Parts: sequence; structure tokens; C-alpha cells
Amino acid sequence: MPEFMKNVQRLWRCGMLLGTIAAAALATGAHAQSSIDQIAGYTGADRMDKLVAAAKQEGALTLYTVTPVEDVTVITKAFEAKYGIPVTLWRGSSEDVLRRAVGELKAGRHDVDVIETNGPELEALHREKLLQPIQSPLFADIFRDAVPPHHEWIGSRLNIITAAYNTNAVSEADLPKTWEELLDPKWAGKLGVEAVAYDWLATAAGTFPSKEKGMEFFRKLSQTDHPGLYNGHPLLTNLVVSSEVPLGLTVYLYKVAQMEKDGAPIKRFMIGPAIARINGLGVARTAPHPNAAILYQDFTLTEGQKILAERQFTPTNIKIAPLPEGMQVKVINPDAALDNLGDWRGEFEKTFK
Amino acid sequence: MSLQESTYAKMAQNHGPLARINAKWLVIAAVILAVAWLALVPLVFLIWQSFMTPAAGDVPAVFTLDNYTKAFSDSRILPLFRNSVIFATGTACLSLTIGTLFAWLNERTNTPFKMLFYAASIVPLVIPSILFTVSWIMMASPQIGLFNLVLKNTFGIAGPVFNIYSMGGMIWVEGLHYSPVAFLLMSAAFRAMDPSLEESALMSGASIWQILFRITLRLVWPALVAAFFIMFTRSIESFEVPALLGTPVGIEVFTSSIYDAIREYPSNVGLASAYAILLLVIASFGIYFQSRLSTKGSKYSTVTGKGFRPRPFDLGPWRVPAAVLIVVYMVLVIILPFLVLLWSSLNKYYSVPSWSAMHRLSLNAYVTVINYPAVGQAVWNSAILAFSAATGLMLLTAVISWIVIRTKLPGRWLLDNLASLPMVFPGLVLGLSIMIFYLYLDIGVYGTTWIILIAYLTRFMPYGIRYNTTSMLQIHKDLEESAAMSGASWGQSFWRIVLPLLKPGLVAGWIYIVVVSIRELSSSVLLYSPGSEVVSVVIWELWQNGQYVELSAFGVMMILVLFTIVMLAQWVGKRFGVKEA
Repeated sequence: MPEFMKNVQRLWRCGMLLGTIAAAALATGAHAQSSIDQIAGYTGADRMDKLVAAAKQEGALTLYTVTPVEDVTVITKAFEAKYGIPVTLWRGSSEDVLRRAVGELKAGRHDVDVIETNGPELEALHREKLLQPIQSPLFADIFRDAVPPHHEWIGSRLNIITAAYNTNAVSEADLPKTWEELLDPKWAGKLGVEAVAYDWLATAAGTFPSKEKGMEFFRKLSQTDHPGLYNGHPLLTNLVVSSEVPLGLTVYLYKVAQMEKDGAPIKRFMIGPAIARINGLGVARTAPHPNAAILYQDFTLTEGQKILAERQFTPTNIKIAPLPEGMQVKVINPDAALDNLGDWRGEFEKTFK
Repeated sequence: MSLQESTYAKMAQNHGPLARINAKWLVIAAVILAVAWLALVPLVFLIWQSFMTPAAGDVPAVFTLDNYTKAFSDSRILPLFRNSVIFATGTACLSLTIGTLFAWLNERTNTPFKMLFYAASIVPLVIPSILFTVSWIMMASPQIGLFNLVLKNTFGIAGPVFNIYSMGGMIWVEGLHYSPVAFLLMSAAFRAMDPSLEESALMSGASIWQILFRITLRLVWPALVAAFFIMFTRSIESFEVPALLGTPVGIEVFTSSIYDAIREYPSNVGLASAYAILLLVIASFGIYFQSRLSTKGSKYSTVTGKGFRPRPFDLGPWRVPAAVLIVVYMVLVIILPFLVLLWSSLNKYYSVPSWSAMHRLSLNAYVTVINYPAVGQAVWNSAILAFSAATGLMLLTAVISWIVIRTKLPGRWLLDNLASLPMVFPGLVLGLSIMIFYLYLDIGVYGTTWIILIAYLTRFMPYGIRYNTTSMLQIHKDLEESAAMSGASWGQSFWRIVLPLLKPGLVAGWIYIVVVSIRELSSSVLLYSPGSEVVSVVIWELWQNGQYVELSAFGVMMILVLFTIVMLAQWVGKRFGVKEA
């Protein structure tokens, strides 16, 4: 029996020790939280100077991003050149970025400072309470739909979904000017849609007088033209270029522009307002380099915007780079996308399959 | 003192019977622990997740049976599952037929172009799935497919003859792409086969075809079953070909429901796991069936104490058709896709080959790829990972096969099953389980190249097992017994008798694992970190950015490098171990 009691005592002591360690860890956590809150909420006139000085002290930054590596490295190189802060980069699909960030942060591994991904995934990070709300004077200049009210992330570019055609296979004069003209049987077997463009369909149908009318139109379109469903924008864009799909309804504007610049026989055209996905970035609540992280977000929203525009992207800082003239943009609501994905998928499958 | 006696005396002096037993059991225990460690992490994760609701924000995950109810009551599942089974059966049959035929021609007959063919046959496997599939779209799509264009322009056939967007097209592409798996496995089996039975049949007046069907194929029955099993389960789990060729025309497979479930927010890993458990059950049946073969003792063992020299058959007048067949296969499956890749890698964007496109050719894509961020690091990491995974696994699984086939250890069937199950884990789920496990068990693995190695070891262990088991079944146990009689310790007989005799299977499995490790994407993309980039991530990156031309350039370089490695592996394999005729 005394042996047993001794063991209990040992266990007890062990538990106490663990408790103390945990409490200490929580205390430092709380301390870190209050300091990042102060930095992120500071709006004084010397905000920028303070940020730069402290960021240089931190001397490092880790970025998880969904932006193509060739494009994002131009921005990080410019950031490194300006502030002398080296950026460590990890790149994955929007889902991988979300999975990695959530997995690591929940397991208590705090490597990441800035997370850059698509709107719905950023909104998911917000719901997981992993992002830091930030006040920046820059937000006033940003395209309205790219600034969520909680300020935990900010849209930095719009992924505009556009229709595009192969210039060898389709002449400009033949292009449909309205959605209705696409119901001409001459388009049968010539159209392509990206296979998981659930959010696009829901939003595009919303641009009709009523969503029901919109869905009815796309059902008719599906019956007359039998558009092929292709997995992924890269595939669809390349198939339009190779004339396998003469007319793609859902390709990314920037990719079309980049390929057109390279001389590929592809051109964009618009039917109705352009549908756009938001792409943005937020700072982790537990960022090990909070000053550098906030500085990088500001940098992306200012100098980064010029770089993005040069590379055919559509930046959100409309003061620096106004939207293409005459283009009406309808942004897919990330919050709604997160909640309705299942329904939207159902609608999409009912329409196109 | 005779030679044997003196050897025995020396052995006894050096080690003693106790040390001999210890070494053997230590190795066996270590191997069992390693297998359990590798296989149980994802398996437990999968089972545990399948009973949990998704966690999101403040809502924690709780125990539930809903995932199973949902998975089995969904009316969508049955047709999807039917598609999967048709696809997998078709693929397995096609690749098995092709693989066996060419392996037989290559190993057992005096057909021309042998050496070159072995290395060239690996090429389809080397080409990343996306590229292989897209190059078949370029060749056989109804709209722009080269074959259809040629038929239309030369023979005036209006309607497209080939349509790659169909179940047949899917089976064709996947079957061709993975025929090297069957080819490698069957080659190994044919190589380790004592030809004396065939020769006796020949003497008794049997024709080549009679010998092939009634003797040769029956002797390699375990290899045929193993190859069918690998191909079947692999295609059930495969996603890329159905996604690229099936989706455009509405043919969906079972795995797409797994991906749909994971794609939701909050990510429904539980539902995906419940689906995956169903695959596990199916795979277990296959493994059980195979394990019954290995209990049949020495029925398939042709490598015995008697010396033999595998002598190739003289095909006689059949040499010409065989050569034609090989050339047609090489052109269709190896050279044409390679040329399509080469052509697109020299363009600025993909266009149908024509004279006007000729003067636009450039090497820009190669320059871009070589200067791509972190590409050097990725190639280096992948090379080390592939080499370590392949070498480690082939040695590890050689011991496992030995335990399963040679010992009467209780529960050895379970060991085989455990080591084979990772074959049907969806790569993404496997990656996720490893990521989460090593995030919480912080032993310094997460964020390094080690975690990727663990993923590869887990993912490709089943292949190592199948390659080794197939070869092991052909080796009669009397060889080891003689070694033991002559006083060799277990370690010595394993190292100097079993491994060299296993060589055909070891080399074939090694080559296979090297190639698939370099291509592995779905786990790598979750587990890599800055500094531990791998080649497949670069491939994925290029594809995601729509840089099809650069991707082709990368593919061309990969094919050339891996082709050389396979040639080298062949050459090394020929120089060491048991000499071949």
C-alpha cells in the first residue's frame, strides 16, 4: 500500500508540474496576444516608421501562399530589397494552405506569419479564430467587396473569371453578345466549363433578373450545347489554346492575358458582368514576426499592387490600379461560398451533369 | 576435416547458437515494429476519423456513426462504385495482358531489341499522369486528336474514330500508363523461372503457345495474381485519369466522392475516411486470397538446389511478328507520347504540329525550368528520397516476405495485410494523417525531409511486399536449409542466399519505387516545407499555373534522366548477384 501511495504522490507532483508549465505557457501566450493587438490596432501618424523599425528587428517572415511562385517571388524579392527582411515561402493550393495553417496552428506550431489564399479559405481561417484583425489606413483605398468587416484579412487581387475563345477556331464576328445567343445550336459541342465552378454558376445565375431565371437559362444551355466539364482552369485554358475547346466559359482573365501576350491564339470576351473570386492575405494571431507580417500586408496592398498589375493580375487597390474600363465586376461572396458550397455543388451537378 | 565441417566449426566459434537465434529474432522484431509503426499511424487515424464529425471553429469533433450511414445510404454511390469497378477491372486486364506479353517476349524468347526495351518500357510510368493523359487528348480527342486528323485527311473518314473521352479511353490511358508495373513484376517472375519444365514440354512436342499457357503462365500464377491485385486496387484509388477524361462526359468514379467530401468546409475527413474503409475491406479480400497462395508451399518454386540457366526460347519464324509487335508498342506508347511532349516543350503554347509552327520553336521552356525557383533543391531532395525509400523498402519488405512465406509465426497473415493496406489509402488522407500525427508527436520530424520519407515508406511498402513475395515464392526453401546445414547463420543465409536469389524482384521493385516516389504528389504537397521541396511539387506548380509548355520540358528531362537510371540499375543488377545466362 505505501508503494501505491508513493506512486499517487509522484503522479500528483507530475500533474502539478505540468499545470505550472501550461499556466506559464498560457501567460506568455496572453502577453504575446496583447502585444500583437497593440501593433495591429495602432493608427498613429508614426505607424509606418514604428512598423518598419520593429520589423527590421524581427528580421524574418514566413509566408504561406497560393499565388503562383513566379509571381509571388517578384513581390517578396521587392519586399526583401526594400526592407532587408528575408521571406520564407511555402506554396500550395488554397485547400492545402488552409489545411496546413489550421493543422499547424491548432497543434501549437507557430511558424507562419502571413497566410495568402482564396476568400472562402481566408473566411474559414477567420471562423477558426486564427487571424488577427488589423487597422490600416490603406483599407480605405481598396475595392469595397474585398474588405470584410472584421478586417482579419484583406483582398489583394481579384481572380476574374471570363469567357475566352480560340481565335483560329472562332471568328470575332461570330461571338455571342448575349447569353441567349449561346443557345444557338452552332455552339453545340464547342463549349467548356471548369468542372468545379460551383460558385461561378451560383453567382452568374444571380446576375440574371432572378436567380431562378438564371438557373433555367443554364439548364437550357446544358441541354442544347452539352458543354464539356474540365477539371481545373489550367486544363481548360490550355485546351482553348489548342482549339480542343473552341470556347471556354470559365477561365481566369490573367492567364488569358499572359498567354495572349505570348502569342497564343486565345482572347477573352465578356457576356454579362465579370464574376470574380477574391484572393487576399491575413496575419496569423500567433505570428512570430507580427510587425514584419503587417508590414508585408501593407506592402502587398501598395507596391505589390503595381507588380501584380504588371503581371496581368487585377489588383484591389483601385486608387493605384483602377479596374479595366467599362468592366462590371460581381464578386463571389466568400462567406456565402463557405456556407452554401454543398447547395451550389448540387445546383451545378443538376444543371451540367 | 571436410570443408563443410570446418565451416561449421568456424561458424560455431564466431557466433554460437544463441547469438544466431538472437540476431534472427532481433531483425524480425525490428521489422514487425517498423511495419506496425508505418502502417498503423494512417490506419488508426482513418478509423478514428471515420467515427468523428468535422470540427470547425468552436464546434469540436464528436463521436458519430453518421459518416457510415451517409456513405452507405447515398444513392449516388452505387453507380460511382460500378464505374470504379469497371474501370479498375479493365485497366488491370489491359495492363496485365500487355505487361505479361512483353515481359515474356523480353525474358523468355530470343526476340530482338531486348535491352533497350526493358528501359524504354518504364517511360510511360515516368511521365507524370497529367502529361501522359493530356498527350493522349492531343492524339485521340474527337476535336483535335492527331489520329483522327490523320484518318480524316488521308482516308476522308469524317466522324472521329477515336474518342478518348469515354470509359474505353480511360481504361486505355490508365492501362498503358501502368503496364510497366505488370511488366516489371512479370519480368522478375519469368527471369527466376527454371526452364527445365518448359524444355521437357518442348521435347515432348508441345507448341510454343501450349507451353506458354499450360506451363509458363501456370508457374508464374502468383505473379499474375499479384500484378492483377496491384493494378486493380491502384486504379480503384486513382483519380487523375478519371478526372481528366471521365469528367468532361459525366463518367465519375468512387474516388471523386472522397475528394468532394474533403473539399467541403469544414473538411469532411470523416466521410472520406468512411469511404476509404470500404476500399480497405475490398483490398483485404485480395490480400487474403494472395496469402492463400503462399501457403501452398513449394508449388511455384522453380529455383531449387539444382543449378539452372534460363535459356531463351527460339521463336523461329515468330521472331518477325514479335519484333513488329514490339515496335508498334514502342511507337504507340513510348515514342509518340514522348514526341508529343517534346513538340509541346519546344513551342510557346500547344498547337497541332504543322510547318508553320516549326519556325516558332525555341528552347525557352527549358531555360525557364532550369531557372525555376528551388528546382535544384527539389531535384536533389527527390533523388535522395527516391533512393532511400526504394532501398529501405526493398530490404524491409524482403524480411517481411520471408516471415510471411518461410515462418510459421502466428498472425503472419496479419503482417502481410497490415503492410499491404496503405495501397488503398487515398494519398491525401495518408498525407493528412502523417502530418497531424507528427505535429502532435513532436520528435523533430515535421517540417523536414524525414516526414516525406515516412510518407513514401508507408505509401509504397505494399508494392515492395508484392514484388518480393512474388519472387520469394519461386525460391525453394531447400537452398536456405542447405546453407543452415553448412552452418551459416540466419543473417548470412539471408544476406548471401535469399537476397541474391531475390534479385530479379528486388531490382524490379526498386525501379518501380524510385519512379513512383519521384512522382508522388498527394502526400508530398501537404508535407513538404521550405527547403524540402520535391520534384512532384514543381510539376504540380507548373500545371496549376497553366505552364503546360514548361511542364512538358520538365517531363522530357525527367524521362531522359530516369531512363538512364533504369539502364544503370539494369547494368548494376547484371554485374552483381547471381550470374545470368
